[in-house]
Amino acid sequence: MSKPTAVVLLCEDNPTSVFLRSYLKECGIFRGVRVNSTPSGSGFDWVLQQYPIEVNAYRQSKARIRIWLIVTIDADTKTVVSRTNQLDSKLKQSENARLREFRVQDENIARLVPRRNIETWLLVLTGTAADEERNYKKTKDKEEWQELTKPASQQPYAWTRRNTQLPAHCIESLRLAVRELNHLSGPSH
Amino acid sequence: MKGWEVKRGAANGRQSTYNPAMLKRLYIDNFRCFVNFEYKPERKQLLLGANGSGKSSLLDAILFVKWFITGDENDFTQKTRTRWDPGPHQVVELEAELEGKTFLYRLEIRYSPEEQLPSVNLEKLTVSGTPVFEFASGEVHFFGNGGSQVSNLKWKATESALRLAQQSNPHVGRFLEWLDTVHCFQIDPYFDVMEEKADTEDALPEYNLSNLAPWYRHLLLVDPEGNARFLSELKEALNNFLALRFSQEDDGVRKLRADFLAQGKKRITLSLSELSDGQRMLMGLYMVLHFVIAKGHTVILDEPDNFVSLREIQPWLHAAEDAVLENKGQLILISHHPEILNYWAREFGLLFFREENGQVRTKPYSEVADTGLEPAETIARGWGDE
Repeated sequence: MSKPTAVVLLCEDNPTSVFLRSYLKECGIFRGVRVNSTPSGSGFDWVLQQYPIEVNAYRQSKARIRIWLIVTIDADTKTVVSRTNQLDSKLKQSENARLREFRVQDENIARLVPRRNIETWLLVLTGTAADEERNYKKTKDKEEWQELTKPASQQPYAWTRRNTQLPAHCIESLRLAVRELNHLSGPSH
Repeated sequence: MKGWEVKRGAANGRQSTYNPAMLKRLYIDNFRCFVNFEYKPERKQLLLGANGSGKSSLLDAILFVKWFITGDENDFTQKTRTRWDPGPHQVVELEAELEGKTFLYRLEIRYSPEEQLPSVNLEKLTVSGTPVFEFASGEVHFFGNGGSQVSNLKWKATESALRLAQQSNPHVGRFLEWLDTVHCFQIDPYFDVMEEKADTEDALPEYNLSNLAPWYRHLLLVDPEGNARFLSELKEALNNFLALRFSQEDDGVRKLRADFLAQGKKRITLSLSELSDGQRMLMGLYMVLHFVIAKGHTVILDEPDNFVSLREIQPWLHAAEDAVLENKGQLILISHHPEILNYWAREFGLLFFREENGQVRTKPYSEVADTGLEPAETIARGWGDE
């Protein structure tokens, strides 16, 4: 894997950013990580609003620095496809012509859509079968979810290894996320 | 050993087994702007609010109790009383959860016109409601493990007597040990404050890190692994930084030096006082991170963003929140900096504000967050301060 010199994480909340940073550490990326997470209001609105800005910043910078952009937006009650479509429409609506293109093949942009939210992923990644339709957020307190963050973050690294068979309990949104992470400079290790 | 128990060396070198400990509650009455004030800290928290809203005074209240108990100094003076509260008693309570038990320490300071110095009206420690120590009316009451009183002793009413009870009840020792792991920092990186001389070793950091060099000298001996991590991270944070070392000067004084790579790949050595305030601040912050937060301690840190360049704030914050998560520590930041407000206020922000009668109150930042503006902007407009 060709390591980036800068990684921008656009995400809804702190637990997601902690999870992603922990995943990046597993990949050997310790520095150069910038988090853009929701400062106030709805996390979903924030990510949608910031997405074109971050894509623009990525495209302006990618020639100069080796950069990754990882965008995470919760599916909530929607599907993964409907959320990525919403992200795409944000680019399509942009007045900036350079932005209207969707992610092109060589761009190191990954779009992760936990369904329903990051807590569902924390369960699955730590070996618990979970239903993507159900909201697990209130089944544990903040500290209990925090406890799961580190072990959970180790799993995507293992799952993005070449020829890795994902376990049977892996849910669709995570399968798609693994594909997205593999897109960042290709399945690697 | 149970799953949660971890062997470690406490800051003062004592060995202990411990459960992830936390400051659970603080109660302050008749201290500066605090009247009947209760605060229940989270594992990660950001205290924000206008100047004079009581954030730093909260830190002082904890520091003063610590110093009072250790006997270092007594900063409870007439001037620390609430100006509009005529009550003769000042109260501070610290509540901690240790090994699943609630430890409650209560200190009542009495101010009376007849006495020149303030005196202890009551000093008491209970564990899950059972008294393990009490000092009142100049008499110390020692309790055995079962809660029964075992003996009494006359003691000076101007000093804490808690340390005297360490032998009679192990819970007292446990509480004192925990108190050693509660740190309040207001790092002052000015060169005439942050001493580069290290003729001695200091086991504990001062609240302003004025003893950074003697503390570091101690840490080099007791925590070489932590030092390796600290230096590795400092290399990332400080351009061209290579290493720290102590050197003996002509005057025989040992001083802390920093080596940097200069032009032409030459190695140059700078004294601590030759570094910039920001470089010294970063050094202090990463020391606090690796030698305190990463030990699972409770840290209350006032304005960690002072002097630090914008691009270095988030990396430190990331490393600090990871250290809290991995070591089950507790990190409470006090800040006005937009970078920190926008990053933590929504989820961890606690807003300090003064009521019309002057008393300090708090509310979660989220309760004022519906302006649609970033927290820094909301605060800058004064819309979040009421």
